[in-house]
Amino acid sequence: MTRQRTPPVVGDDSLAPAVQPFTFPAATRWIGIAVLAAVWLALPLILPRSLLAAMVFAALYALAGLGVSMLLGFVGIISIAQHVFYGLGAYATAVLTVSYGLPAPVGFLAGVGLSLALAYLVGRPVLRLSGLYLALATLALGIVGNAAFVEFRGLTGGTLGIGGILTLSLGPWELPRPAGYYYLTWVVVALAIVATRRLLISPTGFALRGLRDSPAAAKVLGIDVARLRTHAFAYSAVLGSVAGALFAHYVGFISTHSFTVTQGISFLLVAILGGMRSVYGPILGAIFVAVVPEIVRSAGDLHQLLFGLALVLMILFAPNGIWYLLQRGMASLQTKGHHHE
Amino acid sequence: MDVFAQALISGVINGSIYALIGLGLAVVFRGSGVMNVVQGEYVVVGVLLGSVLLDATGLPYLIMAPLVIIIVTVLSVVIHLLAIEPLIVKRASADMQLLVTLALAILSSAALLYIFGRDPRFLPGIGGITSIEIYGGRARIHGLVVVAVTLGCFGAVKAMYDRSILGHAMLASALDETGAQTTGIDVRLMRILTFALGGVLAGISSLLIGPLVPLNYLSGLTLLLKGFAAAILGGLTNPMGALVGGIAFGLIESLSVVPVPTGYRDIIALSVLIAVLLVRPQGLFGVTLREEER
Repeated sequence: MTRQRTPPVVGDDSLAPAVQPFTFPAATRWIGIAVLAAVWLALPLILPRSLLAAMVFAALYALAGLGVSMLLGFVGIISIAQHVFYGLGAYATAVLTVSYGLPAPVGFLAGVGLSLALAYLVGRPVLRLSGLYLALATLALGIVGNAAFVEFRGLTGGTLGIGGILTLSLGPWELPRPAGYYYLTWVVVALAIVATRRLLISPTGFALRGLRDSPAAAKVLGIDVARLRTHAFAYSAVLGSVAGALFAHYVGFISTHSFTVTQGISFLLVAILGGMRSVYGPILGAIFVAVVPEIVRSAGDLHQLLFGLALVLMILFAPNGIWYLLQRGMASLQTKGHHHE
Repeated sequence: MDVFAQALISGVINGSIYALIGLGLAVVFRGSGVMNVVQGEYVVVGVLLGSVLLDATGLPYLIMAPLVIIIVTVLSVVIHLLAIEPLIVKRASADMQLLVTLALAILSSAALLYIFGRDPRFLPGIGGITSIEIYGGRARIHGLVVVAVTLGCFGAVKAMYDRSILGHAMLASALDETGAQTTGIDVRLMRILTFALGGVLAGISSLLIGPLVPLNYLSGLTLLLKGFAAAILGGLTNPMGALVGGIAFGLIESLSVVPVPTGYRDIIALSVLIAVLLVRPQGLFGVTLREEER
């Protein structure tokens, strides 16, 4: 049970999908993509404002959750500290744009820089741990991070927060809330997914998977395990930080309440619920985490209870996530279709 | 009043509670191999439930206390049977077990919010508000009770593991399931008893911590981490280490706030936890690991 012992075991058979990934014929596939794109474009016209806002949050969750998901599914790291990087991104741009009047891109870059610095500083020693110890170390890091946001109130405003963060703008044109953010955030999610896919099918990606499944073998092949794990952690931190910066500009007001461990756990849930073995999983996980509570909000505090119950059932009975369930569902539909012919 | 003496006293008292929560974690970990993230929530359940029993039904303390312990124990066993035992039987990976118990902790926290609301709650202390002076610091009678009960619990658990056939059977089932079964031990029952013991310890912890710190539905994970810090500092595989680990952790926490503002308490304490994980993941008392004992 120490770092000398067995590999992180997220990648064992209990989690690995056993069926072949389902693929549509090319034509159907393009029609499907076109339909999805049309629905995506039209949603702001159809959805009520509250649900559209929830969809913006879903995009932010998907972005930050994609980082956690990649760590969990492809590197074997359970991270409960993503809210720290989310917070760093948000505070960097809030402080720089509000207190110093700097342009938003500077804020984004500063957030990314800070997150990279923290990820390398903390990741290098902490990622030597594995399994249980690593998960609880990131949980401790998450609590320390939130406490630090509260205590550095000279900079962060503590629980009172920072208000008056301007919406993103290009010259005189201001990005409207929420519709503009809906389009912007989901485009960023799409870009992040493309980048993550490319990363995972690159030699680095295969090295990552290799060290997830067998760190010992990876080491023998000359892969610098600690370095690679730290790079992955830093990549995930960048995604969290960008999501945080977008969040700050979208809501216009941030305080420490937005960056609690509960938030970090939500990001982990996005990864688990969606399906951590696919880069598309976090989209579904994020919609589940951000939109379902919005729909059942009328139930008051009961909605959290229902959500918690759904979560436990999902992890117990569908540990591979919604994405995998969907794929299996479509695969069985297809075989049924063939029987009819 | 001497600030330093006061910090020492509160460090030992808080540390004893962390030790007891850590003992609960270590007992379950040793008996089943599961790091039970829900353990912190059980302590919160005990406090909130106890406080409601006293306020709403007017039960006397002496009836409330055993009732809280029994209910928390039953809860621990039921959750074990419903959600954790199936994982052990399926031989799910350690990470999977961790994710499931984490999800259970989130569910418990949501249930606590729904049932008890957001307000933090206290329990009354044993011995009321009388306090006595020790070397220039003051401690409530309850603080002394905390230390005494913690020592008693550690003594009882140690005696059970060392002396009783039941204790041996519980350890044997965890170390070698098949071997234990061939000697006629009911391994399933032993795991149930392990989680029952974890529940009893969590119930007692809640009676001890309730008068010292107000808790609400969000307190579980922090308690869990502090108990984990105690257990890990002492060495997870040696439940007795949690006693020294907990008190050491309590002292680090209380002494660190003598020179810096109180808000930094958790920052310093949990940074120490991370540092210990990095430097000595086997704990201060480097006992051999379970895998290596085989």
